[in-house]
Amino acid sequence: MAADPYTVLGVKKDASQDEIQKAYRRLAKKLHPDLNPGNKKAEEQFKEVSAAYDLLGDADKRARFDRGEIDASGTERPQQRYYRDFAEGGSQYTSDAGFADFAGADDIFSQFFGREGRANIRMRGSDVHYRLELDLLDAINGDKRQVTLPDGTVLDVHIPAGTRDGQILRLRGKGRPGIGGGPPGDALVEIEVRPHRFFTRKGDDIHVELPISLSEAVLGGKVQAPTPSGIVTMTVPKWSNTGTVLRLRGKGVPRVDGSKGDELVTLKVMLPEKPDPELEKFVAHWRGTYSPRQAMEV
Amino acid sequence: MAFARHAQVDRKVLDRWAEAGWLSPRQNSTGQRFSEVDLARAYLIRDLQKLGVNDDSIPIVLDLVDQLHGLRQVLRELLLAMKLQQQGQDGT
Repeated sequence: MAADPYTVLGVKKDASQDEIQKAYRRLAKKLHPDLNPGNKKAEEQFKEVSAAYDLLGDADKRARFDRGEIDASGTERPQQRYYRDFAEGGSQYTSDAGFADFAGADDIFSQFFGREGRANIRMRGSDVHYRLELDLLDAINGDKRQVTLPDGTVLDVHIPAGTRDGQILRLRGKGRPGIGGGPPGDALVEIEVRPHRFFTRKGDDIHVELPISLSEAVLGGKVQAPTPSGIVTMTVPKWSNTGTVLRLRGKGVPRVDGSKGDELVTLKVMLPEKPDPELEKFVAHWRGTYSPRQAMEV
Repeated sequence: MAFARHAQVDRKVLDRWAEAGWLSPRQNSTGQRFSEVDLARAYLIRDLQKLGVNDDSIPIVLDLVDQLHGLRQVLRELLLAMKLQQQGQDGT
């Protein structure tokens, strides 16, 4: 939804056409990406200002907008390619008139400032950095992702099984092109792993809290537990308390050598969510002498 | 022509700007071929006119913008070379 064009230009509803044009020119001078090539943030704002002026700068369109016949969203512009996107890579227009006088000196600077020197210089291209967000399970089990670079090229990123949060994947030769025949740089993709609802990763082990019922805790039995590679059946021993940790070997994170970490299941005894009269009656008859707070001396 | 329509600039206007030397499209057998960089430059000229820059001043602004881009390009290469040299010294 487009913002109110009057607010965008910072003029009153009853501003004259002249005032609107002045407001547009004042903002556009500051924000035009080609006149401010170092300011990457200005671009979005310039788009808004231009769209607002497309509407209000035309007296007919403005009148129709004021009467509510058209709304601000109709004026949104298609993505514009700015001149700076091309000019800096070197085009037929790029000019060295701003520094041609530096080129005479017989020193390192002539390498850069002389056209000839620049054609001879051979350098590796710079690396480019990206971030990629992954779900925990995709990072553990491995995955394939496509990353679209700012210049529109699509990069296939192979996520190896066991990838950690903060790990950097290096894609050789996928960075910026080299200068003067130098090799290209690398693309460095930093992985950010989103937390999982119930799995947490510590090193190569996976930790999970598994709720069990009172009868499973007292009598033991087989229960199903989730692991990153799927559901498994595990045995809960008799008299398993809250906090008991059971280890599922080889159900953790795959390592580079082919082995795997473990999953550590912490049990948590749960009473039924709704009061159960039968259970209440049964427990009322239970005469236990156990005091769980003994260690706290209360 | 799709290009001129997209730029919201008339083909005749593009030809006039090329004649004035504001655009330098490549020549081929069928005449002038406007590329994407010409299109982007045409956008800039159109925006400059909307900003109230008159026709006499347009080539001055274009020339300064071109010099600015030339300087930015050299500055970028210079910074990159310094970084690589630094990395070489650090042995990384």
